[in-house]
Order: sequence, then structure tokens, then C-alpha cells
Amino acid sequence: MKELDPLLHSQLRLAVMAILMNVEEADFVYLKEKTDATAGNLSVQLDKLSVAGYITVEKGFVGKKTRTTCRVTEAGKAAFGEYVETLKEYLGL
Amino acid sequence: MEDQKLSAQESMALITAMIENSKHRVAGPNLRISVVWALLSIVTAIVVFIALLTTGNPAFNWLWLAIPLIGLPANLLLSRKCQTEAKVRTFIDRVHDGLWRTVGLVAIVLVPICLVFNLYGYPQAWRAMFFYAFVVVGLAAAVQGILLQERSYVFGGIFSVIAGFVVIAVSLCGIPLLVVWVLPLYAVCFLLMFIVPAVIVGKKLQR
Repeated sequence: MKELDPLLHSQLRLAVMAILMNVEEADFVYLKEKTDATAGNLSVQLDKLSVAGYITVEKGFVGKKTRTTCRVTEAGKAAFGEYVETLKEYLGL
Repeated sequence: MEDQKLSAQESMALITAMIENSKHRVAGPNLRISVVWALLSIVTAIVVFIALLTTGNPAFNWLWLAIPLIGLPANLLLSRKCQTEAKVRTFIDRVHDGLWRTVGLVAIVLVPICLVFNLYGYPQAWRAMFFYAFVVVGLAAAVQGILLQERSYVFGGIFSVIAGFVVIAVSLCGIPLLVVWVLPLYAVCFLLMFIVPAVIVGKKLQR
């Protein structure tokens, strides 16, 4: 049986990826609200996903406020798809 | 939520929970802008209706220009406000925005065309704006309903498109478009296309 992608097999990173698979883009505040994570922890996990090429993180401004927008990449979509398929194998679905 | 390892069951449950958690937003892009345009259209139609019926002076038709003159700045203001509020963007948001941008662009081009016709002595060219409001806007409202899976938008849109075709047929037959029925029909269409569905969607989101 295949190994589960260690990068996705973590609660917070998997939650972020699941949300981003369902929307086109989401900002840091939205992800923080939905995952109930601390800003510091979320920031670290987003960085890991970004370094792996699973998401893109874009920092910009809306008016005077900063906004960090995250999007899932094609590589991220493929990795998530593969992760779900492996999960199904594990669960015998 | 922490950075902890999960079992296969927990992973699957987490994925399902997160998808469910972000799902309700997919069903409701910001509808405030369409409600503002609809209210503006209805109020203008009522004002023009009363003015024309009481005075009979066709110059009051210029009041229709209040729709773009008030609507465009209001739209810019609201969309700027939405931009600062929006935290997530879905495929539906993108299609919804593109749809209404296209409809708006058509209106922006149509107004000067009608104005030129008017200047050359053909004020009846403004009827084209009626056809636009009934048919093009109606069709867009129906598409919006299909996107949002909200039948009331589809119903309102279809009602408006059919009303538009009746107005076109009446016009082509040379029957005069009387203020007494065209303007109330116009107001009812906007009520059914945007106000009623927005109230229904609002109540559903509250629940």
C-alpha cells in the first residue's frame, strides 16, 4: 500500500488544502477562522505548503490593509487527489 | 487546530468537515449590488410613472438617466466595500462577476447609442433600453439563478424575458407602449428578478 503524503498528512495542512480545493482563493483571515488555528502556526504551515509548490501565497494590499491570498496549484490539486485516493485504499472504500 | 498526525479515518472526516464548512459561502456571492440596481430601477420607474401620468410631459423620461448616474458610483462604492470584506473567492463568484460586468458593459454602450438616435430626432430608440432591461437583464438573472441553484432567480428571469418579448411584439405590431402598463410591468420584473430572490436567499443563509 502506498504511503500517505507526509506533507498533507497533518491536521492543519490537510484542512487548509481541503478548503482551498473547494474555493478558487481564500485569504489568511478566512483560513484562520475556518481552521481555528493560531496565526503563527497557520503561517508556518502555509509556508511549508508553499515551499512544496502545493499552494501559492500572494501578499497584497486592499486599501491600507494587507491581505495574504492563498490558491492551490496544479501540483497541489494532483497531490491532494492522490492523497484522497490513498486514503480510500486505506479505508477500503 | 494543531499540526498533529491523523489516522486515515480522521483525515477523511477532516476533509469532509472542511468542505462542508466552506460550502455555504459557495452558494452566496454578494447580492447587495444587484439589489441596489434593482431598487434604483424600481424607484426610478415609479417616479417616472407618477410624473408622466400626472403631467403628461415626456421630458420626465430623462429621469431614467438617474439609473446609471446614481447606479454606477453606488456600484463602485459597494464593490470596493465588498473587496475589503471578501475573504474567499469561488468559481461561482468569478462567473457571477463576469456575467454582471458583461451585462453592465452592454448598458454602458447602449445608453450613448440611444442618446445619439435621440439627438437625430428618434427618441423612440430609447425603447431599446426597455428590451435590454427585460430580455438581457432577465436572461442574466436566470443564469444567476442556475449558478446559485436558486429557483426564484430563474423564475424572475424567465418572467422578465417573456415580458420583454411581449413588449417587443407589441412594439413591432405598432401598438403604443402605454405608460400605464409598461412601467408597472418593468417594476414588477425587477422586483421578481432581484428583490424577492435576494430576500429568499437571505433567509436561507440565516437559517
